[in-house]
Amino acid sequence: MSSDPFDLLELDRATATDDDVRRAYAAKLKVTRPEDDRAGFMALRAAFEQARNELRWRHDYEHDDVDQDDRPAEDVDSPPAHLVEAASVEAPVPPEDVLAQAALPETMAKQDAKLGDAPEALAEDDPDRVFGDRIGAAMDRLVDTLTATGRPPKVRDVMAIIDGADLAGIEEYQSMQWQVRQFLCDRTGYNLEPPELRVPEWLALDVFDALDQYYGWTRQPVTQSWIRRLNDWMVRVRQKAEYDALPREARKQVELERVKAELFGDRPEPAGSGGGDRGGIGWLGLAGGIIGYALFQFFTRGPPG
Amino acid sequence: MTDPSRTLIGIDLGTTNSLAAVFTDAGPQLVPNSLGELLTPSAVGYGDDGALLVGRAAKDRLLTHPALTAARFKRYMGTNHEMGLGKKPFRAEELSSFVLRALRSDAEAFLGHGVDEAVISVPAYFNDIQRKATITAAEFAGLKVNRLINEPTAAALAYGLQDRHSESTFLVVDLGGGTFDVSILEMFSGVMEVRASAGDAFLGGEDFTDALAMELGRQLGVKPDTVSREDGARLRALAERMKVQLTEAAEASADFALKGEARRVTITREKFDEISDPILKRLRLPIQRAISDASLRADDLHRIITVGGATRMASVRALVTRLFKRFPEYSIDPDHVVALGAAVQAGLAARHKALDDVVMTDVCPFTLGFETSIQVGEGKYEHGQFSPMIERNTVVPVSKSDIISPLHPGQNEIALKIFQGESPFVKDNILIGTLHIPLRGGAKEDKSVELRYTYDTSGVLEVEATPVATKKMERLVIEGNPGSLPRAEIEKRLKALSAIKIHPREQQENAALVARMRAAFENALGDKRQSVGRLIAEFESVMSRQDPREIYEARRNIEAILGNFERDDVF
Repeated sequence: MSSDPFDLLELDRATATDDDVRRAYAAKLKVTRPEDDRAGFMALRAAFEQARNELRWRHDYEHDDVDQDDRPAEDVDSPPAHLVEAASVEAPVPPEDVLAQAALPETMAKQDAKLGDAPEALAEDDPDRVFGDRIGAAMDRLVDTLTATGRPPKVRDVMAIIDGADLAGIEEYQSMQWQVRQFLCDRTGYNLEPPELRVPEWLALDVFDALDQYYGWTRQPVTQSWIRRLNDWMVRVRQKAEYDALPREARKQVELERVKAELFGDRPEPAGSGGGDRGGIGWLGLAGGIIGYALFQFFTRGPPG
Repeated sequence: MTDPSRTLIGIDLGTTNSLAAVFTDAGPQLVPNSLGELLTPSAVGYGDDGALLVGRAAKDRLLTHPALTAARFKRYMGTNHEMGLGKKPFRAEELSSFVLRALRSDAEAFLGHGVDEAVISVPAYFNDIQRKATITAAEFAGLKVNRLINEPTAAALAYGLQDRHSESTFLVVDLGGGTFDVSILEMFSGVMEVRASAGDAFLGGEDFTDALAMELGRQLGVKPDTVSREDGARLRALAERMKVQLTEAAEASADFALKGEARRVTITREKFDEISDPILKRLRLPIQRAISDASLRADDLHRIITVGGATRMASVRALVTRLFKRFPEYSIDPDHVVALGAAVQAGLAARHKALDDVVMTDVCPFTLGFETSIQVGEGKYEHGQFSPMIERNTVVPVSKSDIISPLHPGQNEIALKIFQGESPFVKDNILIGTLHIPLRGGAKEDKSVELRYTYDTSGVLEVEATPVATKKMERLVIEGNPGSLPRAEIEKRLKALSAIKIHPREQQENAALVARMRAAFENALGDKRQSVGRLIAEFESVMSRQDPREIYEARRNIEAILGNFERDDVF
């Protein structure tokens, strides 16, 4: 059997379209059923996916310019087609870090064109525009509620915004999911160089959990690695917020456990452990003098143990 | 069917109700049970004579004999949880097997010949352990499983068959009694292809009933854990009935007999929506994930289909309408569609000529992988990392191989822990089992092993190991799944089960009627209670005379009278 997907599908690589590939696959599938011919099916399936991917990439590269011009206004900020595919269209707004360079010149060109030649595109009833405005307005309200000075945000108020009737559709939900995460990532130091985790005072654990419960960042599996990175960051934000919510004594205990684990790790015999009980400063003795000093430094704001 | 002696049947083994269907020249057709009904409640219990009752009779006896009856056991598939019928504890596989056996007899009576093979539907979100438990249940019932079919896929097959040559992409929202699944399918040139599945194995219509029962309890001033088992069962049955009423009416009310007095309870649709809102909210995440996984936008979906009895609830339909800004389709009865689709798959497996030009491919819903350790320093390892082998939503059957090596050269075995799930840490995933790979030869020899994992079309996992040095392949049995039965235990239980006396099929109808009258008696008060009591006595004397004709007449009369009572909210 040939390993070339187009040979297996009996198609001409140079002229085959996506429709041809699907039709050839469908025809062959009826005589290579998964339940009868497992190996044959797996080879056919692999050829089908490979051929389609190849055509998709070729399409994206060869027709890049044509494609971009045909896009609706809302897609101006979107990544090239193959990136959208990889990103599984989670939201119309792409991650800045991935696209900043590629999309910027295009965006500016597009905006110029819009202002100059295509006033129709700005019409009030443009559905994409209305959609974008609605999401933008909701984000503004949410940011105001979250960061208002002197008023810690209430879970009820936050939910009233994100669970509002104007955002009930799945598309609105996906878009908000994306934007709220981007916002939280930005305010927790994800975009710093290098990233540095910090949880602003307004982001209390209950508010974070309400948002996370609604959008499922820390619980929903993701295959795309760059979305997974964002979600992993949210997991760390949650851990930090949880830690910050602990009373001081409990935090000290957590730190101690962490240091102990780091020091002794998986080693069966802790090196230099001298009995463990040194009277009033027993926990210092346990961790060793140096670590004790590090801990002391960590809790400089309170009286040492 | 070309070979009538080998008819495959399709079975929808549900949390609340189960159905059987066959594929005929006229298409898929549902099989009626001994009571002439299409839905057989998934309930099992001992009758007064010590024989086992299945279906409606058992469901009604839940109210009067809760200690001898079990229901909703599908929720415990793949766990070691046991439910007691009297003193004897049963596993979910065993209880399910009684339902399967009843459906099998119904199909045999309908077809006029024996049946020993079936396509059984399972929630798409069932994991490997739950799938294997379903296969064990079928084995207990004397049925060979030709294939397990995912419930939303089955539903899509039933819908897709209607216009098989059109091209379309559709989303199936399947909210059953105990499980929630979302699948996205693409149809082209007779190929039905599942693009993505997502779901929640512990979310279903029964949760709405529980929430409503809590609310009714609040109105009555009782807590579910303080009432008697009988009162609790009646309260839940009432909640179930009011939930159904609320799909049509804006308000439902009924009398509940508590400590000898009738207490009125009322619930509006608004209130019901309010108490079920937290459950409803859990539907959104899997839907968005399925769309995301399929690399689609909501606009790309041509059809939105709702299946499963719980999608009858107004609030569920309203949510789907809000999410997609259009009304969902439900032209095929949501309670029947999965069984019909399972029968289509049975027809496909039996090579029915009417299905020559249809092929269906499905995906695995979970990522599969194993535990690895990452070296983080000199002699230091971080354990518990999840190393994916087959990504979720890959078309099945699929096979992937990988070469693994022992951490230490002196090892003579690798204990490979296999997990299913999406977290990067194994502790958050489901342990499918442990694979003991023997390593032969001394410390200096090459001890790496090639592992090949295969998800079959039923979504069940197989593993083969081939040592690189010897090239001798071994098929490995995955051992120690925390929730599944070892082979020897299956054989033992199979023997024990065959000794259990099952109520004869032809007498199920009488038993069901008696159970229904008793339940009515339990909840009725005053005059009505007396008349139900008289009916029971009359029917028992008719039954003792054993004249089939007379029994038949009596049954029809009593059913009519009971029907009137039920309309009057007696119970």
